[in-house]
Amino acid sequence: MREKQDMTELLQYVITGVTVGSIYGLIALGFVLVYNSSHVINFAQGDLQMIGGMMAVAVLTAGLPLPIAVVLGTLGGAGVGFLLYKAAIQPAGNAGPLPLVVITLGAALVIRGAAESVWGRGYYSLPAFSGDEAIHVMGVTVMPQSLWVLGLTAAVVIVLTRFFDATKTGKAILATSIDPDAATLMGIDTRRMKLLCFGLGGFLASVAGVAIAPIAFTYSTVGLMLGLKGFVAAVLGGLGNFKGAVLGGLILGITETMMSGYGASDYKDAVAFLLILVILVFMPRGLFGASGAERV
Amino acid sequence: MKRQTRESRRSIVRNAWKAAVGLSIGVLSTVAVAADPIRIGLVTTSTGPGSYLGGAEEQTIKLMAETINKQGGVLGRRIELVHYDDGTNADRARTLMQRLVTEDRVSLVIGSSTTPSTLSMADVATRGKVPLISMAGAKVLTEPLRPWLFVIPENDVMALGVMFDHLARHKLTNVALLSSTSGFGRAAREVALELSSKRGDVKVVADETYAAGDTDMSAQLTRIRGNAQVQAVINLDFGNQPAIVTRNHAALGIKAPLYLSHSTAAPKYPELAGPASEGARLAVPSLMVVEQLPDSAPEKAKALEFRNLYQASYKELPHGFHGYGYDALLVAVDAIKRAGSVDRQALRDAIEKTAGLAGVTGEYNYSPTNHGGYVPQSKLRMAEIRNGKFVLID
Repeated sequence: MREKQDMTELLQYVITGVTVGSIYGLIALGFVLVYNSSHVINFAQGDLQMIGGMMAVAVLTAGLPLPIAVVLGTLGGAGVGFLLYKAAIQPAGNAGPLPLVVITLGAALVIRGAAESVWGRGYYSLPAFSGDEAIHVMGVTVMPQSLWVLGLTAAVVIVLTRFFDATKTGKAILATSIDPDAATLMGIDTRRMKLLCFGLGGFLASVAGVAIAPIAFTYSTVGLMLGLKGFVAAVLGGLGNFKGAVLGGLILGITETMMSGYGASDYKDAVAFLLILVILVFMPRGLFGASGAERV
Repeated sequence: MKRQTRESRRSIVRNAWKAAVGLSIGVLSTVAVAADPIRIGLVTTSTGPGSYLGGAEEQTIKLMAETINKQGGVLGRRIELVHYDDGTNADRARTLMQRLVTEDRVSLVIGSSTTPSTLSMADVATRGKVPLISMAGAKVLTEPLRPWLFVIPENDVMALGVMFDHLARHKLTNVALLSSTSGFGRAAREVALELSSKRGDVKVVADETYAAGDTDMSAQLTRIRGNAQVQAVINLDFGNQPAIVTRNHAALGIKAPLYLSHSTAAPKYPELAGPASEGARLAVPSLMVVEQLPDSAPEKAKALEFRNLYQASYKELPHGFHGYGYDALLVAVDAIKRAGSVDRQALRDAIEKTAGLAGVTGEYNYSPTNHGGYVPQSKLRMAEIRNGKFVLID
């Protein structure tokens, strides 16, 4: 009897860990995408995620149905991503990655401030895509929205991998990332490629924002902590690798959950970050980091 | 260089004109109130993590000051609020308090919304001999007693006491704590542990935490569910995470009822948590359940009046923190009326003599030995969420 209960608890921890981890993974994907094209870590990624969630809530409040709110929310995030590149990254010209990273930090503050003045500082919720009825299997509980997050994460990984492996635009983005000068000589419009990536990054972030809003709610500063966890997941998976980013998220999520379940929940974040330190000391390129030129 | 100076001088002149015109319009519109305005300083935590508290208090105090001015002011003089936002930063609160005392020359200060900010302001209040009315609620604010500091909300020990009384009365004596590791959650957890060991009738049998920003507390709750002793789960936090805890608690099918901190008591909570919040219990300020109060409750009439006024202006229902804002200004205005002046020392003495003053969250009584405003009996009442509404329970 006691053994069966232990088993159920373990399963519940794993499921919860996977749920939390796929949220981190979904956010990590946006970091990886932008990094692949421009070698910039876009620290506004977390705030673009917030924009997605907030816009979806705003559209829903205006009286439009949920599916339209979801679509408009994600497009809104993509739009702000484009705008971020046009207004802040492109004018900086050939500044190196470090100044660009600082620019994204500033942009994050601007986006957060703008959101606060438009939507205020309250908490908002989005209805779950397919109901709030928890699914129980062998004593383990899963919320349907968690399955949505898992499914979306998997779909995004598959589509992105296909996109970079098999399409001309995808290869052009890769070429831009490896050697912008050579890419320009080959007739690739590198600016357009980077613009596309920031837009796609914004789109991915807001897909995450919209999918998470029914679970964790949305508010002006939601991007702070989740953005950080997403970044950690991306680094853990070897910045630049899609599957690695998701795996990094899952490892982070499961470690946190196991620590809450079996250790002291006080130390769960400390242990998760310690794990990252250890991995990065022994595998400086992350779990899936390949050598220099062939990221992705 | 010269040209620039002339430019800026010209713009100063232009601004002075604008100010003069603005001022005269202001004077004309309040022609009934002729004398100098009464300057009251106000520091709230309107941005940052504590914005949920300070935003409500700022809105309320501004609305009420405006209402009082429309009705002719206090002692025939307008109330002029000098408002600053401390951004959930105690150092900033200290600087702002300094500015209010020395530059803005206010007669009295209301603020701030959080305990750390209030503590750093209290030092300045003592040195500058300015009465300070705080809307924060930790026990350290009134013990030891500070001569210039008065506190509006009852302290965290009394608030948790109401919950513990309820648990003991209903024989739910083995409880699990689930608290946030944020400043508020940590402090509340310590108070709960101390209260439990002091009272002896409610025992803490599980003690779990989660971090700010966590999106799922199922792991901690699964562990609590696995503990057969647990008869009730107490969540100590405010903001959005109690709503996540509530949903996880419902999804995991935990039988032990969920109790939440009184800081969660706002209409937003059942709205965010949805149907999962059915049956959740918490101590609420009486403003939240005003229509269910017996007519004998001293705060009923004023609370109803305020609720209607607030709802008419902001199209939403006020919650407890709006009430603390209302009562802070009420205590200040009452003292000014009784003192008949705006002298800082006279105001301090008048606040200390406040007796039987009915506010919207309860009745206020201060004395030379009690700057907490409360009477031994708590002003909070236990409520349960039923059909998304706060319903008074025994």
